[in-house]
Amino acid sequence: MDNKKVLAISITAVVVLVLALAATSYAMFSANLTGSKENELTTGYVTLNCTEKTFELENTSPMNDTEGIALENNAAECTLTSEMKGTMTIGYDIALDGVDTKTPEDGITEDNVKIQVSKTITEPEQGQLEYLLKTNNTEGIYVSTIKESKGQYDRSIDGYKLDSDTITGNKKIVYKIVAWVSNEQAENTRINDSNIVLDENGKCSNSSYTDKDTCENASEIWGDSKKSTQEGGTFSFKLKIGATQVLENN
Amino acid sequence: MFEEEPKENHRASFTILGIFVLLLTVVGVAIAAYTWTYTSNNANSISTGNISMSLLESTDTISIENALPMSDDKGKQLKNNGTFDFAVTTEASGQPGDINYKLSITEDNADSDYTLLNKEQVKVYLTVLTNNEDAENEVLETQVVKPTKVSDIITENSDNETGVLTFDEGQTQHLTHHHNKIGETITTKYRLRMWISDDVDASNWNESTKYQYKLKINASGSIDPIQ
Repeated sequence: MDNKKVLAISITAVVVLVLALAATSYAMFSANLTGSKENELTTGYVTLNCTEKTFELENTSPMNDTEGIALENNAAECTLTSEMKGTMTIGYDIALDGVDTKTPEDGITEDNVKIQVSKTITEPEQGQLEYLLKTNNTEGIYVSTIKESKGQYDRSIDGYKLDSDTITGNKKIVYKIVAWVSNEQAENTRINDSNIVLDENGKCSNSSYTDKDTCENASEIWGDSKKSTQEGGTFSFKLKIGATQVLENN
Repeated sequence: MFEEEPKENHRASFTILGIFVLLLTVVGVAIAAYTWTYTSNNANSISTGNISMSLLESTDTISIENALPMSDDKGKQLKNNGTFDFAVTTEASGQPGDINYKLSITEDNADSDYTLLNKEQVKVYLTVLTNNEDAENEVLETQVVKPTKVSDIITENSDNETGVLTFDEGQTQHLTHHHNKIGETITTKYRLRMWISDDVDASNWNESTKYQYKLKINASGSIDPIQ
């Protein structure tokens, strides 16, 4: 073994020894310090709710927009309430749901029914009434015109959207949907000579009489009848709201 | 060299894919952080009943042969073959309110071996028929359209040779059926007369001149809601 190798081994051994000693020295002192300041995390919450008023209007008749808007017992309402502890932005869609699913084959469909849609923020401060979907205080729109309108925040809403908006903090928003059967479409089915059908040959103007002699003896009219019918029906809808958190980085 | 490059490419691809999946997961979790869905329990509904309108025409139509001009007073007294009765009936299974209707006449073509009279030469007259409550099976007639030349009903501006009958003042109430009860049927009966106006010069008519005039009645309705 030459001298150089002996020197190198000796230096390495010394360094290792010094390191070992130093480590031992540090380990000889230890302390635990606990701070007095408490850091805590408590959870907030977000609650959304819709308080509804529904309507059931029977034996109504086709009418114009002014009459439909002035009618009573034909308005659905949803008071959308948000209660938040903490800060969050919620995006929501409100839409008609289950549109005419009960009686889709009858004479009243989304092509006959008009709606007027409005919303008013009532809390935290009373806001102004705002009409939606190009409706106003004298005009509505046919339900069929919003059939393809899809949700912005809730993709499960694939039609009949009434509004999309965001909400933060504690708020109350009243949505109002007024509905009526329009008489504009009924123009096409008005009773006139162009759409009458043969009702009955040999009929009395007073249905109590079923033969010509008794009919005419009673000074009624015996003849042939033509008839036109405007079929009625029922139109129904529900409301649906889909909401989701909106993140700023989105 | 050439064999190592694809391995590095694979490694890079896996790294990028991994980061992408991680990002999607994070974003997905973030979007799903709060969701809420509400659907009504109860449906809103609006319904209407069926509405129908019938025009019943008597099998006994006006059929006047060898007609000559006559005065209004005489024309108004025409009977049997000189009259045509019809009834307008409205039915509603719901409560539609007022059903308003109009009555009109449409000129028809003359038979092939006849020449059509001018509209100025023919007059029509319409009465409403009501049952006399004091005498069973007796009919009362009330004038609703005074004797009027067809030319004053089917004017040059009329479409399809059709003109609306204008009811006399104070008689238009017959053109409205008030359906205030559910399932109500309302009938109004009418009698039409027609004759050749007495101002027509018939001095040139002879055995070979054959004139004729034919018309039909129409009824058209619309609905006004209950106020």
